[in-house]
Amino acid sequence: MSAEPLIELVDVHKRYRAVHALAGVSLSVMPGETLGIVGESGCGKSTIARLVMGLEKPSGGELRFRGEPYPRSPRRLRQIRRRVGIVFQDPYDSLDPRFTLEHLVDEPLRAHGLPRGRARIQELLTSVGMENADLDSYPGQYSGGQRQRIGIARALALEPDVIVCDEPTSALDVSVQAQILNLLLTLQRERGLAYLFISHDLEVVRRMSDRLAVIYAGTIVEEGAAPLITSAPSHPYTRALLDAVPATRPSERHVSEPRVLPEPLGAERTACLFAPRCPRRAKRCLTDVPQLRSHDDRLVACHFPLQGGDQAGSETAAPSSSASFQA
Amino acid sequence: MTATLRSSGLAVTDLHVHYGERHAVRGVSFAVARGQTLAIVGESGCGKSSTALAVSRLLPVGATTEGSAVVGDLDISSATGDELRNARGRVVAYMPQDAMAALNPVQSAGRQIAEVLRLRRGVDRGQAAAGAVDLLEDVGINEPDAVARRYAHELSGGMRQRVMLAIALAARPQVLIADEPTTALDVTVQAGILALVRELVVADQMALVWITHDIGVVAEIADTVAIMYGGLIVEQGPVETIFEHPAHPYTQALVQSPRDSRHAPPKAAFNAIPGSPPLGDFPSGCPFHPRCPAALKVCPQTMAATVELEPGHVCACHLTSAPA
Amino acid sequence: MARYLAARIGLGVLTILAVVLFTFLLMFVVPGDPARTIAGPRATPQVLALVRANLHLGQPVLAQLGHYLAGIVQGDFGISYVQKESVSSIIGGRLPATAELGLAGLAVELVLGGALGVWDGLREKRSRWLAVVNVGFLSVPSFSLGFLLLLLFGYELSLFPIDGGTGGDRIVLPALTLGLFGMPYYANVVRDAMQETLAAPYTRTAVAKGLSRRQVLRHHVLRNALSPALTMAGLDFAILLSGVVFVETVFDWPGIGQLQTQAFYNVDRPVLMGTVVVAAVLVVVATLAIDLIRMAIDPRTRLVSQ
Repeated sequence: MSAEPLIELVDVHKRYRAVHALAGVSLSVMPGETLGIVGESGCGKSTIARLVMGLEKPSGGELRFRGEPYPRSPRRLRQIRRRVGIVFQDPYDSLDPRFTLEHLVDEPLRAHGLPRGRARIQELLTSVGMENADLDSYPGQYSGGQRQRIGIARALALEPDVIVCDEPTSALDVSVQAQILNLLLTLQRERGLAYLFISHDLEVVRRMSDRLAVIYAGTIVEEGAAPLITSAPSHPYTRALLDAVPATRPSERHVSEPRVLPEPLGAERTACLFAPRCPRRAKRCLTDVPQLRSHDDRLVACHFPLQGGDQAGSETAAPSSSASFQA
Repeated sequence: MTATLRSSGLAVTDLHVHYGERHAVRGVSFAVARGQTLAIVGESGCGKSSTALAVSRLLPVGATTEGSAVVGDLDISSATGDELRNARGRVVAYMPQDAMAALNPVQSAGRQIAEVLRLRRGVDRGQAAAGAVDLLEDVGINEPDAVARRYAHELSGGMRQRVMLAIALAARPQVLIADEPTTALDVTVQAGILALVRELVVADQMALVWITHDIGVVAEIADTVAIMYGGLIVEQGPVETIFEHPAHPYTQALVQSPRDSRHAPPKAAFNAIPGSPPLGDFPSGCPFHPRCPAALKVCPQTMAATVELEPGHVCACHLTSAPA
Repeated sequence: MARYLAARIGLGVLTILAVVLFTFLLMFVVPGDPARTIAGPRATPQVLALVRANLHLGQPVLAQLGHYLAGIVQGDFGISYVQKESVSSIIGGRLPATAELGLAGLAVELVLGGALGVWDGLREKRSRWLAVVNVGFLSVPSFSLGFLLLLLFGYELSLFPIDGGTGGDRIVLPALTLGLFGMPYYANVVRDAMQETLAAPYTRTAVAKGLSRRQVLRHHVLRNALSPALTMAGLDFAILLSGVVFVETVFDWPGIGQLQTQAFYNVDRPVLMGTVVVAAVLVVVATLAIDLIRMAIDPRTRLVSQ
């Protein structure tokens, strides 16, 4: 147990005009660990990435790096950005096509006044499996997977303590995704990096993470050890996410009945934001805001959490036992 | 549904698509019966979307095709003028990935559905509007009246895709070509749409071609599967066969890795196919040979012939076709 | 919607107020004694004093501004120094002519430009002919175009009357001069929008529905392709009005623009200011009108109102 978290969010809020993108999120990333963040589009997970990168300021609450609050001055914020790297979702948009590989990887070194030179750039490219790359070539000559490697080399250049991975494989072909994920795992093992790993893909997040936070509508609904949460979820939303993952063989088809209700059109005011879609909702969910509290070795924000093995109201995800669908 | 209706599915034979010099689809053949779903699986650049557009006759200007796509006694690939126009929507309907872009931004959802009823089924204005609401209800929308009045930008991603489905279904097509319609959606929303489509295919006796890169979606929805790589179908067969007895090394990797993944502990290495799918120029011989763990000497030289391993299960691979 | 309208109108009023303030202050920099201009060179000091009192000229600037604003609200812009008539009735008399010319110019610009853009947009290859015309009109300054038209069609070919004034086909040359200047821009904008719209996935959806080409164009392509041109027209209206000033002078068109030019040379302060304020009102009203039309055509722009 390392005492001090690398990154800490304390009751962080973020509003964009009328939209409450984050409504009181607290979490921490310990050195060397991966905290996975999973949720659907618009849940606020990318907002967390931008806040942690210091690209935006929270509307309320506090972010801390190694126990120190994020500084207000842009100059001192730059020092935090040196310690916090980022790998973006879209390897096509994040690399300027007009610059050579040398220029692209050199850029962060130059910006932060670090030792430079072609040898250093070669070394960085080698560490991401691009040892044969021509430093004078342009990103346009490379595939999506290779560009993502170049993006990772850029992030590594500053030798950060933690890297924010914002949907790092979503834009890649399935056969290439695995290569990039393996590279991230290797780098973590070799360098003791911590990751804040953000994805909509529950299966990927589960395999990459030590701990997992499930976000719904700007709040954490469940947080805990990744294997525990994915094998026996307590929050009906986590359950629904797991249920919606497609089968791996036709004999295990199970998504015939959506276990989560479709989003209603009207803005129904409920205390629990998930209640309008929740198959288990009761009266209390419309009046009391569920607080994140300790339950079954994890944190969960639900008035009626699922108990271990209790699958009432939503069929089990174990496809072998899901007999509820008809042809 | 009569037997004659059911029999007239889609049969595609030796379809080629060229974009100028680029030979994107290099002779694919497949068939789907009505009430059945064929999933065409592959990664970017494999030619699956070009195949979908070619069968729907929606390729951009400048693309050329060879081969045939027959529904009943109509060859869609050679139809022209009114014959083609009449076939659109009624014989073959098309559903794209990006519903936001595929919906007219300045027309309400209801109007875009009603248009098909009015112009293609000769229904009058009032009935068409009511019919549009009914269709929205059929595709599982809770408040169809309200949704009918909304514009694309006022709807969620899942609702937009359901509206696209309603448009595609409005003229009661015999064949529906769906090009990655759930790829941009959240899994919970995708699950709902997969379930709905599975029901509709049986209820309306459509022949469904579902293009996807997601093998999990295939497991959920397909009756038969065609695996595409490098502009070719490398393996094709009933869904159980493809998942339980895949013959092609590429299929094996696609099918096996999510299954291994389910049981893999956190932070264990993922099963990866080395390299990346070819874009533009396909490798010589079998296009998969540079990435294939079992490539033979012959693989870079010639493409293997497509061989029927058992009834309905075909594979184009030197490992399975040539006696060792 | 109501809130948006109220905000827009409030903003418009503020704009007009700012224009009034600015021009009012500018007028104090203008040399010359207005009282002498009005009363004439041979007026006695007594007459001059009387005129000054009537015009509140002796009072502090702020008080004068107050009088002026109070007048405007009641539609009173004062008395012309030269014509000795009420400015509002002079402007009122000339407004129809300017409205006619402005609308005709806008029609040339939008209708002709739009039609050319649609025609060119439907072709697979860009028309070389249209490109030449476009570059031609773009590179000829508006005033040379006016003189050229006047020389060619008026003097040489005598196709159109050149005796000034309104009525009959006298509108043709000034309207062309006014509209042809902006027409190529609109032709380009519409053409690009047409190409974009024709290639858009929603057009493909329309084709996939089995609609005829006509139906596809009418119901799906045109409305989307014309929306950017309208946005541009909204931004462009002030430029069109400034063209009016010049065109009216060249063609001796008895509108507000001509009036403004004359007032400028005569240092006729009340008329000059009146025309400036009326022009500001026209711009504000026209931009609002075009915005409303745009919102009716394109629901995405209604987002602003929520």
